[in-house]
Amino acid sequence: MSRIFWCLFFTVWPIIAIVVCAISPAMDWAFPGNREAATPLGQRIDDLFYLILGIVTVAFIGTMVALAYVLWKGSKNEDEKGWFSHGSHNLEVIWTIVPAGVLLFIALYQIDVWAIYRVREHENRDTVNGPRPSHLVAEVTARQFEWRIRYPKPGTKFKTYKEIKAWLAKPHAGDVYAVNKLFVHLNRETLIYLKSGDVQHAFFVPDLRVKQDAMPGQSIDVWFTVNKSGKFNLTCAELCGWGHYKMRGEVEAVEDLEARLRELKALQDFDGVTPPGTAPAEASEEATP
Amino acid sequence: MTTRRLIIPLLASLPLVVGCADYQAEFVNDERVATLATTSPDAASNLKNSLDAHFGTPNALVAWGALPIDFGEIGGTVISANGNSLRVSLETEPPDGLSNVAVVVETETPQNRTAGSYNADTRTLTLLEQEAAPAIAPGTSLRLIGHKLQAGRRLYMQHCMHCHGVTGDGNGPTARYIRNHRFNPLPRDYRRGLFKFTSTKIGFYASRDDLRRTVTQGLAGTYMPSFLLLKTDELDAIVEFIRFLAMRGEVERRLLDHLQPLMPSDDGTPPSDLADLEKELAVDTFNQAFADAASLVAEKWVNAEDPDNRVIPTTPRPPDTGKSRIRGRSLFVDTKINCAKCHGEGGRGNGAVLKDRQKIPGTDDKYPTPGLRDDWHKMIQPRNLTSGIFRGGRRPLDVFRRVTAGIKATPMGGFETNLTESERWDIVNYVLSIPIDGAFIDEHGHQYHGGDRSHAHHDHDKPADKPADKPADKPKTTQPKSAKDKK
Ligand code: HEC
Ligand code: HEC
Ligand SMILES: [Cu+2]
Repeated sequence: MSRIFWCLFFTVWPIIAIVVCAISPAMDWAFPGNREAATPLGQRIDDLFYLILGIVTVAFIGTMVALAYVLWKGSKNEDEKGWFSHGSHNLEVIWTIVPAGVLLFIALYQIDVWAIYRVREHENRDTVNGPRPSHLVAEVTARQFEWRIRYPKPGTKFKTYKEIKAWLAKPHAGDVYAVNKLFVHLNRETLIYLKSGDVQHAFFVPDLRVKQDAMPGQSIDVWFTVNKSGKFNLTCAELCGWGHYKMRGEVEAVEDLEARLRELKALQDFDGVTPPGTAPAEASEEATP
Repeated sequence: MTTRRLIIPLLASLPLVVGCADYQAEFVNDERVATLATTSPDAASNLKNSLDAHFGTPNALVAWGALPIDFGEIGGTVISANGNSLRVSLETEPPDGLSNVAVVVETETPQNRTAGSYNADTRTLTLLEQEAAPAIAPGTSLRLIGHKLQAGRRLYMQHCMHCHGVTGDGNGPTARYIRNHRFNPLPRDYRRGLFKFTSTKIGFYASRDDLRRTVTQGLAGTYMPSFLLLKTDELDAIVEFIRFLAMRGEVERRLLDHLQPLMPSDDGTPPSDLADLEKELAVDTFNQAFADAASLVAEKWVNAEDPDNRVIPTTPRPPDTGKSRIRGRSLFVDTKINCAKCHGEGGRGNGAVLKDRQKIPGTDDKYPTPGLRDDWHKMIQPRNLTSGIFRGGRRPLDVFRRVTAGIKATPMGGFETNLTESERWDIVNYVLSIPIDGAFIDEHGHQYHGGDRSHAHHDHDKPADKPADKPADKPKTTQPKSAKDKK
């Protein structure tokens, strides 16, 4: 009796696990953003995840079926006596080589995504002197407990990375400042430089599958292309102090980013008299006695 | 054995459960109330009770009509009544959580009742039991007052309390982590009605818009973070609650001033004519003093909303040209205006006054150590204007307001009377240019960063980004030749 109980007991759990996994998409227990990343690269990252999930599922079901079979068979076997095994060299070799092969496959297969995500662009930057046509550059400074954002003057086109570096080094005339809300261009590349004002933080936009630590004293480049319009939550993914949870921000992808930045700039230039957005009065020293 | 294995984790998780129990927050009284209680316990408890009666406790707030606060009011009529449970039709569907809200029932003699709960599906409002309350007939109109203040309290407890404290005394549980640096401003103590970054003139309090700006944008460079993603109604509710805390604190302070003669002297001896004084101050004139304090405080907050008391320039910002900046610079270092005595020649916040010991306000004594202090006696550093951080906002309007009305509760006073508007605008143009082009201006009108003129930036010889600024009032060609500082 109790043998059969244990046999069933150990069989039921894997079955529950598989059922839960199988229904989870329908229950919306899935990735943020309706299961689909809002960046092309994010979609490839998801694909990798699903690939790994597939491999793991096959291995899991295989081992669990074998385990259940062995238990079942053993529970019926009243006559044969157990014997002591000193291991099987062949088996050891097989179950070392097969997972190693699988791992190697995954390692090679994902290289491209990783290279696009963190390496290739960055490397190019040092060799090719000139950015790809990045349509937005912004500086994002994480600090306890908010995201301070600086955009270059609307309409700025950087021609070289040197120019970007010079811009990052200090404030410039016409810069647009914002806090907790980052506007990015829809369907065009965004390049942000991530800084920290104090301790370590992490820029995490789950829907975009973008996550990067911000390190004090460094300016880390992160690039992504958002291909769905809308607003996405920005959170801090590195426990950075007792107000860590307050670091809620928003990334919004808009069609006409430059117009949006001009609006922000107009508000920032408000002098209390000239309504924001109207052109400044014709410049002349006479106007100010 | 097994039971023990089970019980220990259960015990270990007990604090978690206890920690989640409903937290009975309390308003703490000014510490002078405790001092007062040593000589005149009656006066102290009188004060506490009156405060409780008019402001309530965090979990049972009182919407006192004498205060200029939008407590959140919803009108409605009774459709049918069954004892204390009324089916009502409300003008606007209330946000959740109407429990403890005040209900004014307009029966023949209006009743002041308290809502127990409201069920939005059945539209049933249940009032708390009240003795000898007359029956309420269908058709009676009623007003629910206080839901906004309660929402403000909830949000405040969630987002702000851990720094600013339950009472708004700036003494929340995490405030001590901010204290560890000499120049970090502490979370604001609201209880004096003092707010630094306002749009109002000298001597006026903060308007709702000013508080909204602080909460949505944060105060860059301090621990006051931005709460940009709060919804508009949440923001309004929080702002109302801050004003409530400020008013409560200030009424308390004013009453303590009223009761000051009852305080023990420094060595703890009570005043000689205690009994007479007590009768006069804590009994006969107390209620009048309370009402006076409240109306005075109310008036200040009402005035802060008056558009006439706002700093609004009459002329637009003049073009940001080199000439304007030079004029600004000369006022900055001018001996009469002398921003430089605090902010330093190079704008780095290291002016000469930092070497002096300052007078303690209201006394003839000086502080034991040199340096500037704010109205809370905390060390304060004049801003490093080269940093590009503007806590109160970087719009020209914001800086204009800072120069006009000063930064309240800090040593930086306003210059409304000493400077004409166009002079103030010149200063604004200059101050805004410092982080970009440097604080020093040489004889050619070039701005440069102190000390390293050889590195003066070629790409910044334009005054600013305004298209109108192209006129060459600054020579574009010459680089400063000598390395002499303007110091
Ligand atoms: C992490 C701590 C912290 C939190 C959380 C916090 N504050 Fe503050 N707050 C500060 C500090 C520090 C200052 C003082 C800054 C200064 O003096 O320059 C301040 C100042 C203020 C001021 C005064 C502005 C002025 O003009 O003088 C207001 C109003 C304010 N906070 C409201 C809020 C509200 C509302 C919340 C919650 C939504 C909040 N704060 C949450 C730290 C905090
Ligand atoms: C008595 C000393 C003193 C004088 C004089 C003074 N300031 Fe200040 N100033 C300060 C202090 C202290 C602060 C920092 C206040 C704070 O902590 O927020 C400050 C802050 C500022 C800020 C930062 C405002 C912000 O939003 O962050 C500006 C801009 C400024 N001062 C400009 C001026 C100008 C222009 C003048 C001359 C017209 C001037 N100050 C004169 C002491 C002074
Ligand atoms: Cu963080």
